[in-house]
Amino acid sequence: MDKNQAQKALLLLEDGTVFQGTPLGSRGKAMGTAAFNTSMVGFQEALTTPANQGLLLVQTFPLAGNYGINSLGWESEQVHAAGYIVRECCEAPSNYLCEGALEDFLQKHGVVGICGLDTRRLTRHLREKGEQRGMIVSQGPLDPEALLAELRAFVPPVPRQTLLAGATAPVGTELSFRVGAADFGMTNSVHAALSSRGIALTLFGPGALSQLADQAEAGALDGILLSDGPEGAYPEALEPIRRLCGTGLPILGLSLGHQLLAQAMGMQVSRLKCGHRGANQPVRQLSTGRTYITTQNHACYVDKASVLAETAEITFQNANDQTCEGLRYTGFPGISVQFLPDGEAHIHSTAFIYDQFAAAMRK
Amino acid sequence: MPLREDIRRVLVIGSGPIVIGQAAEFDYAGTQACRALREEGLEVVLINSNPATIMTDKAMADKIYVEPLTLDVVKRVIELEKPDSVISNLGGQTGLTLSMQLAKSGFLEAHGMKLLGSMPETIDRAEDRQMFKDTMASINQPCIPSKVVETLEDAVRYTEKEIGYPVIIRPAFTMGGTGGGIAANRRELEEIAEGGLRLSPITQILVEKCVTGWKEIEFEVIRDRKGNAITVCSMENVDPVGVHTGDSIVVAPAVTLTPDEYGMLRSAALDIVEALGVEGGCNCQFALHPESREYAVIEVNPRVSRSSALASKATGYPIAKVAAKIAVGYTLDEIRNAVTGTTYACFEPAIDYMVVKFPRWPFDKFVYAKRTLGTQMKATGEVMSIGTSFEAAMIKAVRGAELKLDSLNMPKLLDKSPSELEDLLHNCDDERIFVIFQALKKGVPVERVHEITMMDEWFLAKLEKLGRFEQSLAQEAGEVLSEALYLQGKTWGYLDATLEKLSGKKCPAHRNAAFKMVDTCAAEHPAQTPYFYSTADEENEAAQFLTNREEPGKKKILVFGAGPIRIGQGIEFDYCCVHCVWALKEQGYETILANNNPETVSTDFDTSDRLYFDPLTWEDVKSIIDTEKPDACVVQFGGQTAIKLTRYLAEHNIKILGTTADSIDAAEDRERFDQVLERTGIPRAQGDTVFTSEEAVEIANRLGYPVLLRPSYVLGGQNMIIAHSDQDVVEYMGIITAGELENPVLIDKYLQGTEVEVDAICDGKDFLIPGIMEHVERAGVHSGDSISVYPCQNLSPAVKDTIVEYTGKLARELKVVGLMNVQYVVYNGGVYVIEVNPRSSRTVPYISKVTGVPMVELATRVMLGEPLAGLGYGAGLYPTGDYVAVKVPIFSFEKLHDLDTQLGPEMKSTGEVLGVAHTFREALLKGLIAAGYTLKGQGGVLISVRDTDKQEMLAIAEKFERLGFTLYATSGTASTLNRNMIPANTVRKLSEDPASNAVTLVDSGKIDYVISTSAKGRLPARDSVQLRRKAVERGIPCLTSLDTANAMADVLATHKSVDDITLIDLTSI
Repeated sequence: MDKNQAQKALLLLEDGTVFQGTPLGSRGKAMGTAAFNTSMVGFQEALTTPANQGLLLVQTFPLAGNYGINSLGWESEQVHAAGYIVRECCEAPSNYLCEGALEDFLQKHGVVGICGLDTRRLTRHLREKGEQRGMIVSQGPLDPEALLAELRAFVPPVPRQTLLAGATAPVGTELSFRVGAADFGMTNSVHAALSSRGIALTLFGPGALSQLADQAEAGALDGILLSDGPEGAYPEALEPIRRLCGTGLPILGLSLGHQLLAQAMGMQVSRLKCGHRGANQPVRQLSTGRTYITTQNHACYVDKASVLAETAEITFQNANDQTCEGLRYTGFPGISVQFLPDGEAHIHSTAFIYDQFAAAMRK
Repeated sequence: MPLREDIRRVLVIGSGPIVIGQAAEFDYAGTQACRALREEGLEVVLINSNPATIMTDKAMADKIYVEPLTLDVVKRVIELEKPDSVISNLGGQTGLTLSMQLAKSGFLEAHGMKLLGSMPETIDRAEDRQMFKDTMASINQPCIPSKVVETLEDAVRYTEKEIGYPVIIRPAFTMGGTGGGIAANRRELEEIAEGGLRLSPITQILVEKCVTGWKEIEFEVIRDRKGNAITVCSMENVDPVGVHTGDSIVVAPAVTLTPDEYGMLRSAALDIVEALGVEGGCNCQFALHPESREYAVIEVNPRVSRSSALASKATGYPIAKVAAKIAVGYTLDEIRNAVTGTTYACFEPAIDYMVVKFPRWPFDKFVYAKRTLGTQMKATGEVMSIGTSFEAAMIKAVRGAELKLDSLNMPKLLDKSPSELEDLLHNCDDERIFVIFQALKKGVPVERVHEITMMDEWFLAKLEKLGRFEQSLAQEAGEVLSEALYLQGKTWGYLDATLEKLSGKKCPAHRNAAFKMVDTCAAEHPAQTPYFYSTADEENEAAQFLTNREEPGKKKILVFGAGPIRIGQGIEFDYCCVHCVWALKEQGYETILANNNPETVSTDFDTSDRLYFDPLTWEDVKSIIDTEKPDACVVQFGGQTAIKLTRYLAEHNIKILGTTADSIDAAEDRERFDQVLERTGIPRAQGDTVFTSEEAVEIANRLGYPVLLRPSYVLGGQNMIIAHSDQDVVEYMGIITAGELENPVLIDKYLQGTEVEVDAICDGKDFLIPGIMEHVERAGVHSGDSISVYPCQNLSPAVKDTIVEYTGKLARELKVVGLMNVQYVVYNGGVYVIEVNPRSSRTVPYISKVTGVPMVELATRVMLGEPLAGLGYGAGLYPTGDYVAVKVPIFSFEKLHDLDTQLGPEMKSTGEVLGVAHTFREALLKGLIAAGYTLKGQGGVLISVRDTDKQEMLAIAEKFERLGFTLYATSGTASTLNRNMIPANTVRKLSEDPASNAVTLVDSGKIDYVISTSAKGRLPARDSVQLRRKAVERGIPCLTSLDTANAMADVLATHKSVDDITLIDLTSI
């Protein structure tokens, strides 16, 4: 391999655009859906959030790794992102909790990344053309034509079943509520937010949802959580979800959970050209007229037109594009939000959503 | 809910003159707000004593009162204009304090007026130290252990019995940290606490545990009446707690915080504004322990501030504008985001670049002032830079600050050894960042530098990285720099010339900068904000923007701004730039502005059609020109910063609008200018140019003392002195030759006459002089520091005619097209030229306003080719009106320790105020009141003047004596007085008796005025300097020119007060 090639990496997009950069993390080839996120902190969380499975994360902020990797930044036990794209990866992180540099982390976890490119140009491109398949390659012959052909033949895999098909034991003391969670890719942040409110979670993977429904119907649970996770089709989840709605237990749906709940109830889910991925998304609460800043990470949304008054009312709306951001169901005590109430551990403005859920269970 | 129906006419209180700690940022904020209010169809009544601002302009407000910002005057304006509301949070601390006084006294209620912006409860909870602590405690926001005290004894007891040293003293209701400081022991505590109690309007100080070394993090927040709240920007001070935020290098966003820490502080900021009930903008400052989650709220400012100006420019989110709309009833979700056009103001900006703010200090002019940085702000201004990395932003910021540095390498540090540098690290001053850079470069470990400076290792590692990069430049073989290293250098913001200097090689083919857009949303939404910064990327958004949007047929003009605010080049130049842009727009041109000062109106992207936020060196500017291809450039309004570009523009055949590069050079080059004077028959003081000390002494003796010494191509009389002897000359030449000497030193015979200043507009043929300004202080005191009077009061018609004639001759001979400023001295009936500046000057804003001649507009139009004759203002000397306007300079002496306050040819003032009335004495009275003089009519006057002043001083002393003042004087002065039958008590000099002397007398409170002049001064140790410093410390007017003292005596003799004088609305002039 010639010296020049060793220092080069390419990012190819399925529409033919090629970006040149420097290898980051593991050397190799990674394919996924290129999506940009405008958060200015939270790179470790982004890499380990299950919802980012299959995504080539594009960070608009030109720096990552500045405060290093630490024990608090894990949103799950592993790295889920398919690839990582940032302008600069900090070599000398600084923070008292720092346990290591991002570069080492990416290498250790086999994440293929690319840096040293104009991420703003990339972001503008994706904004105009839409999120699309991409490939990062930092090893082997960098032949754009051949690689492009390979990319165009790539079929994004269905979301992995990230967790056991079965249940996990509740954790914590002084726990008042037993909640069964449909775990499509739950994050530690959400887990922690619920635990701190006295909620004991039992997790059921996507393949174990009928068991969840059984337990709910049997009266073993106080509430249901439908978690966030990688977006995609989950046809086998819809029937169990309908069963859960029928139990009369309070249900909270988060992001993907919000979408699946809507689908289960017969509403339509569409796809945005470019997802809402960042920590500054303004969301308006229709009952109070208040606007809140939220963290979001999704490309699909519930189509307002398909929301029928007898099924649900829209509780939150995106202040920028007016898409549906939250629902309250009429037939059963279910609430769901498209945003992440305590997202990536740094935007806490809508943490009250969890309080609402806890209050519903108290009744 | 949109606009409140009950608001029609709003009173906006401005922030007054520019002082250290409260400066240009309020002109920017106030201007944005006035615009926002008028956009809503509201009428704006403005009161602001500062004539140099864009805010006090017909375009901004419906009624303008340039009057003293005192409670009584504000009340009178209210009674006259009957506004229905007043906005409290746009005029800095001044505006806030006045609004609170009006509210709390019941005055507003009595006049049926609403208070908009920050409410008294909010202000109190934020500013009253005790209420602040209580409010924070009520929402579980930790504060640093502290206690509010009102006596020195309590301060000492609390410190020694409860929290221990070191402590920080914070006086209540002062700004810019005035009167505060860190005390490490009893002696320091006594000094600082005593000063703080005196300076606080409510005699209250906070004694607080010192947490120096903790991270200093700020959030700018906006909240509306519904409770919607957003954080606009997070900022991290590179200099940790211990250095005032105004004196710190700051990055946005914060970079060393984990999401958890970030979220914790962000939530804290939001909780705080909720608890305070803020409606509008608010700045929250936190100290975060570098090794734990422990944090404390340092302070909260519920108003627009320097930080909000920075945050606005850093993110593109117009805080003041939004705050003004909130004040009149809008909620954040109702206010449109003008940047995207499709979204609203209730969102948090996401940025995809890094921003660095770098302060600008006055120490290059004030060689003897103490440079240490602490809790009391000393910077006069700042620059901001935007880059794709911290490195790029830093490199651009350093050269943008105009310190004659093109990188972090400071010449005088290059030869120092690592251990010498390590020692220097202990000095926390304006040069520390350069010491740090050099120390790291020479191998001092990051940990060691961190240990001494407490600066976070993140920044240190970055600086070390830059140092290593610079070293690698020299290590490569070959004569041409490799593409890889060159590209890395450009990515990090280096100029080609710098890379060549550091590497010793030539650069490969030059790579122009590509511009990216500031769009508040990191490209998430399409935006059409014409606000750009340079990068080394390939995609040039500015070029794309132009392709998509350019209106064919419209010509483009690029206007250069004036860089950071500094003594000698302040917001007056920004006023001119902005007016030029407006005039160009009106004439149908597309306008492009280039500047890097975040505090000003010129860098509001709303001002011009396009804004480039970058340093103003030739290479930086070249990239802009290559992208924009303007039809012409304007260099006349950006002070020396813009003028410096003239040579390059000419060399590259870029058209300069107005006066040509050649003419500019003819005015500034000594020899050429002498020739101009010969050709026009205009006399000047004899003089010469020298390069060495020996030459200087020789010439000085030939001319005869006293002589004036200064470097050429200056602004603000930088490094200028009057020398009375060979020793003076030698001392001065020593200082000057310490820096790099690009141009020679000018040495002139000093003529002690009346100084007169003239601005003129010339179209190459005809010329117009809006007014002749006469200075109260004779030649020898810099014009910027003189009290300036229009129209002139004491010049004979013959002299006036001569001045007009000479001005015309100069304008024509120099082929001035646009503005020109000339300074004359009238000596023994003859008129002599001192200097000519072929560009706008700092008098333009105030003269335009008081004469009604829109100088910048006229200048712009003649620069575009219109004949002056057709513009409707005639030619020659413009007829005087009914008013006299007196401009009084403002100093920030209490901020700069050890600085001699004696006025001289080196400019020292930071701002100015204006007094306008029907007579000179009344106008002067107003001006002095606006400047903060209380004008006590009785008491004690201490006089200590140099030998050459003693004779003249007699008449002045007599005036004070006749007014009933008791006179005190040091021995020489006293004997002169007594010999002439003017009774004066003799006082010993400081050096004669440390226990009882002039300084202790001033301390005693018996003295209300000090008149002090000395032949030497400057050195902090000298008696006279210490006397003058003591006067500053005690807030006692210290008059260092006999002319000022004389004027003061005359004003006191009128026995009038401001209440007796009519208020004048400038829009009616």
